[in-house]
Amino acid sequence: MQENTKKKRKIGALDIIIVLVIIAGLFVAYKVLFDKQGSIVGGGSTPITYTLEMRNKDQAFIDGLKKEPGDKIYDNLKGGLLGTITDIEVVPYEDLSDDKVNGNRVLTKVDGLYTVYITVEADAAVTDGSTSIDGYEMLVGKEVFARSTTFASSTYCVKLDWEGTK
Amino acid sequence: MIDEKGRLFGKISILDLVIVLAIAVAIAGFAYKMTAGSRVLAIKGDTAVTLTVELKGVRGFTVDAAQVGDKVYETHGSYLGTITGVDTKPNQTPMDLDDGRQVLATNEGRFNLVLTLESEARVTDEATYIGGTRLVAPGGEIKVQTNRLQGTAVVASVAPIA
Repeated sequence: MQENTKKKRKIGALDIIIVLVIIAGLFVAYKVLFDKQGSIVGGGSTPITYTLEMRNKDQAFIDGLKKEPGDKIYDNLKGGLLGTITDIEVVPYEDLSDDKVNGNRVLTKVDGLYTVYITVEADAAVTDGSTSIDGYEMLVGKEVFARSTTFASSTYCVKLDWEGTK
Repeated sequence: MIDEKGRLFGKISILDLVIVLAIAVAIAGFAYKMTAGSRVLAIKGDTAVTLTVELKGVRGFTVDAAQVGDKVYETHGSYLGTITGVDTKPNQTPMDLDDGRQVLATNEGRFNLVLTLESEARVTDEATYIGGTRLVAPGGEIKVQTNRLQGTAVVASVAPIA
């Protein structure tokens, strides 16, 4: 019994190699996940403001939308918190329509449809090459599947600012 | 050297060693693949180049988010360069007119965003590589991002800085 206990406590060369391999794996994981895009601005927690755009929404959607700020907004795919709504604006929806006489496509209002702009405040990690909220990358042009208490929708980030932004 | 139990120097099982080496090689390969681009930013022989990329059909908010001085990366990849110029062109796509002609129609509110980047590249007889291994050539598509925006761009030109 005592001999067995002694055997278990021995550290062999194989154990050391396995530990080294695990350390190497963790190092690689760190490089891949965190070291891609340079130094962090603002110590890793920078207050940001961003705007999400929801296009082509009908009157029923607008009627059900809570217009007052204060609600939290979440990633509808993984559930992460993306910030707090500070402003909601509803404007008529516009889409490109063909002018087949003059050869142009012009923005035209579409009756009964709306575009919603939701401004959100959050704390983010801002690096040289990315801005992310609790690991969720938030960038202008990115499609964001968002939800709050009164909506769930595909949105696009159309504006992103933080203090000291150029 | 190898005993009757197949152990090297009586301590390490050959089978275990082979498994560990295979895992190590796989990890090393994965590490090379994922980080190769970001390792080499200014190796000896790198040349300063101007890289011009174009994001086609973007809206005004994307144009506003592109700023001189911002660093540009390939999405989930290596550093490509720093923006030194931001310009826009009208976005045009084909349209069949009522009279049967086909023209390039200008799309209101859409732009082709042209970003000029200053970068370091390895220029060989065969190709130009940015960030060590990222081949860039006019016409090639590349997903780009800064800390403000992301989009799909087409390489317009890459030329050494005189």
